[in-house]
Amino acid sequence: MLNRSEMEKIYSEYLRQLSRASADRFLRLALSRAIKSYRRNTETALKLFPHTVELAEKLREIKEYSLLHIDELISQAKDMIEDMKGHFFLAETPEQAMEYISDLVKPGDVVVKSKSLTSEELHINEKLEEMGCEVYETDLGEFLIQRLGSKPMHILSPAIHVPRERAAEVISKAVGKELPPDIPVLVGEVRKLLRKKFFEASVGISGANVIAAETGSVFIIENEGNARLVTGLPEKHIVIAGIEKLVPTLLDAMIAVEVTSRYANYKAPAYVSMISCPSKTGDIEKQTTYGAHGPKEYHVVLLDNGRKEMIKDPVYRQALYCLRCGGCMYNCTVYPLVAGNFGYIYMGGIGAPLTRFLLGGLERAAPIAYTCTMCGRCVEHCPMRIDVPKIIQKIREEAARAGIVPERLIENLGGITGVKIGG
Amino acid sequence: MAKDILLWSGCVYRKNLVSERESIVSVFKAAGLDFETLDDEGCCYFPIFLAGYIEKAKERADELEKSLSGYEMIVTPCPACYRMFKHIYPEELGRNLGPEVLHTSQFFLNLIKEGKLSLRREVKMKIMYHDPCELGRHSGIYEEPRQILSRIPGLEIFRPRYEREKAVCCGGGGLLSAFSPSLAAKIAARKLQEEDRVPEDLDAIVTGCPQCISNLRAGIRFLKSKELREIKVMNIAQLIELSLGGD
Repeated sequence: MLNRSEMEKIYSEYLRQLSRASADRFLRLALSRAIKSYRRNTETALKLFPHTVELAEKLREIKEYSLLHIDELISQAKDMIEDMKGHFFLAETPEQAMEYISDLVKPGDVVVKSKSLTSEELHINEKLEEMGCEVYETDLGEFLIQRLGSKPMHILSPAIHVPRERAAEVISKAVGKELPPDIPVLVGEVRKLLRKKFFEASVGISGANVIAAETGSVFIIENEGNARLVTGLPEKHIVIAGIEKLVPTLLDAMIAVEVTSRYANYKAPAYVSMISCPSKTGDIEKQTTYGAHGPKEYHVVLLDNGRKEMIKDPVYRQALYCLRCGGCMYNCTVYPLVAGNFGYIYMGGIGAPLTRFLLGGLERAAPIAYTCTMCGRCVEHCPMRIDVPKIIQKIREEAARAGIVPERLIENLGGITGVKIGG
Repeated sequence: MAKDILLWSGCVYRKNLVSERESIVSVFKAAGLDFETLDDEGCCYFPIFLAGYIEKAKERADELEKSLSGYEMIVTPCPACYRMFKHIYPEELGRNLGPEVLHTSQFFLNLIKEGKLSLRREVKMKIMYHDPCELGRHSGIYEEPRQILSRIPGLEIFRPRYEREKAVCCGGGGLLSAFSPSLAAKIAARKLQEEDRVPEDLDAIVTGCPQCISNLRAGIRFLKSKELREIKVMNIAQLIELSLGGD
């Protein structure tokens, strides 16, 4: 699968992309503003709630326990979700997940989505569009990215690289009228446009930040309020999440919510939704009827797609502790210069193992691994203290065994060390 | 017994930082030490390990065991060599090479404390100490370089915004400077300007890693003002050398 000369092309194209990005002044400016504000907000949040640091240590233990008992937690969640009239599906592959979801939508359906990186593993937007669905990303950043046809540049702020002028062009085109580069105006126009779509939509698709196995409850953290509408207005709600989001109890889940939010630079997020089943009422004669004001159908699709393989390895397992708070990127050596170009779909150093196992494979993970300076600064800022340098080392060892260490690297090393490495 | 000390320079010092290496040798000499160097030192294989060739690194351990046996202590100015000998071979690859391993900053500080080096001459410079990742975060050596610098009279020390565990990497780590030298250099420039926020009146950046020295120098060329582009990058031995002797 990994032909050496094809790999060299991947490395060259990747480095060209990094070089272009590092020369982009707007990108630098946007990133440097974002980094400044992230660091300031996080510092304030952690100062106000200093116990978060200890909670994070506790959460790491919870995460480790959960991964080591994953089958147990999956079956617990399945039983509860089904007991409460939801539907549960464990997909081993993205194809299986996509097949399950395809049965729930029909051509012509309007589908609204809130942010889900995991759904990228399914290439769900393209697939749904091929089926004739109209798909709307409703997180503002994702909305912009979807229309730009580009890839997300940060996990929490996907459009971190898009300045207001560019956003105005994109939104003007979407609403069919010329708009000024005025942020509140742009936000208002997107609100108007999407409001209609939320009501038209028959299917809402969301991700999950954490799932409590004991009740099968899904937690979604957000600020825009779009996830509330995605999960509340359409008749069907589908959750797509990786199995690593499971923790044993509701209280464990709340710890994850608190820690994730703080390290994502919030004192408290605007909204946390906890969803356990389809909407229901028993107000007439105590007869439970499903589909009151919220969705009538509720589906939870948990995705394995290589995660169980990761769990087996004590080094790679750590990558599944990741809360996707994004803090590592704001404190990274490489990211501030090139943003998500340092990555594939999953980005940053932590993106390398996720790329390796979940989306892209070793050939896409290796370029990321050889760009990481393995400096370990992210570890100092990571609430889960994920040992990214160690993980990167492991990916490089895989690359060496596969014979795909970048040629330029071997050559330059030979120049300094005098060590000649063939092939 | 004194001849049991081996000064292990490392590839970057031998090939690219010859005059900086000479300063290290003169500090050894100034302390009146007997020490040896190896004519065919070769590579510690940290870069080879880091590239992913773990088996090749294990093979190298056999040769190293031979060439290093007989020394009581290895002293190296290179944190990569230091980490490889001190931690990677024994802890990751299951090979203990024998001798005690010290970074020059630890070794020099001991000499100063023992009175074998006296830092008496004033050095009127404004400097910043840069924590190398391999020395700091990966090997836990933060204190010794700082203690040496704090003993040099006249030295004004500028502190970067982030230090020690939170110090920002120069961009030359993890072999990035071999994979993409241009990106590594741009990272160094950004680090100095946006993270450390070095002032224009800074005379020099002092650090304990030859890889950092090379990459910071490459990055300094991209800094925005002429004053900033004139900042020197030096090793700890050069600073010691400036302060040796005097009354």
